[in-house]
Amino acid sequence: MTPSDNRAEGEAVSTASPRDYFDLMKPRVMTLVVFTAFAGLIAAPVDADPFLAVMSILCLAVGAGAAGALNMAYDADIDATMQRTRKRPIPRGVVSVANAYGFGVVAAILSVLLMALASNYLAAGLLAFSIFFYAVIYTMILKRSTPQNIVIGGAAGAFPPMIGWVAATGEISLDAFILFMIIFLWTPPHSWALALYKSGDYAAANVPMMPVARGAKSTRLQILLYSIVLVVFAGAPVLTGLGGAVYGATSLGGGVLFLLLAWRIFRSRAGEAGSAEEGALYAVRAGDKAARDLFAYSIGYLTVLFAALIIEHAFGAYVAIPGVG
Amino acid sequence: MTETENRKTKKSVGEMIEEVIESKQPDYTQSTETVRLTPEQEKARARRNVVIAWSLVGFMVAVFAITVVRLSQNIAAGAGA
Repeated sequence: MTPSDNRAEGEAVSTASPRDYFDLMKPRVMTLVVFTAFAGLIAAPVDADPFLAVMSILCLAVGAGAAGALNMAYDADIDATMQRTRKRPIPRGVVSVANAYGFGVVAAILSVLLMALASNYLAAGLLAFSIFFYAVIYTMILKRSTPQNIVIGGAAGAFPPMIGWVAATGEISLDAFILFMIIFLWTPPHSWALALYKSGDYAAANVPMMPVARGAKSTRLQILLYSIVLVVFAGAPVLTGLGGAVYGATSLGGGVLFLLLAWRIFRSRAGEAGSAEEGALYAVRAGDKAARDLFAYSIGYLTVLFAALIIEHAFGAYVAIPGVG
Repeated sequence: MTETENRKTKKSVGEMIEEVIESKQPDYTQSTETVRLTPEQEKARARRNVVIAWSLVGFMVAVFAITVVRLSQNIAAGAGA
């Protein structure tokens, strides 16, 4: 018998492209992670070596991507049920769950090791903890068991600016904690706005997101309350001197608009229909428009807040507000 | 059979070892693949292999470059102290 007689048809062999593995890393989330981490690093009161700073941000991006891959591996069953996620590489069948786990674990280890080399052990430890927090605490424990899943789990997404700061300074300061808290408080209204107009998706997948577990009315009220706390807290950098006039104006203007949209959701009937929705991320029924608008705006709000910090600290636009800071 | 004839027909130990080694050699004229891949699968595997190779090269270069930068910083700090 020749070796070619022994050959089997390679149906089980993957046709996954590098692009599919890149998609496992949730590139859209990675973009926000890189941006906020960069803001934390730039806002830190230390001039970091540019090359090491870039390497640290790269490690953070890969670490966040690794956490995303582990999340997709564990949530493959849920993702296959939900309209919004069923085109991800695992539900499409191009990447196996085992390969996604392998990819995630290897990427996580390499990113943490390289971070330790490029910055310091505290930043590397925080990166390792944030990956663990997202992949294990949020994905494996909280997500399927409590409507507070994204409130507590949101901490994982709040770490990047703190890690950026620590990579530059080597220590956790009050300002680093404030940057962490801004994203931590931003996550509930952002995620619940999406959950309101995609509640049918979450209900079908048995994920106890707030609109599914407590109803749309309670969720709308909680969005408003968290939004108020967020907008007030977003002014904290001005008080510590981390943010100057540009940040203050951005925070004030952006915050007022955030509150208006949150108030619009509160007064609306968003999330009442509760049926499964077809279509893309921003596709929405007429009644749920208020929720879609806040979801989309919240991304822009966080972006301009951190962009203001970058402009002030990287381009010399920092003007202290008299009497504060 | 004379002693000389015997020596001609008998193989030496060295020859026998060579024969055994040769019999263990794989036949490189045949493919050693045990799974028959479609052209699409072969292309995808090749693309993944290239990206893995570049990632490994990138990782090594990153470790080297970071080490050089850190060493330079430490030497400069030591000289200044």
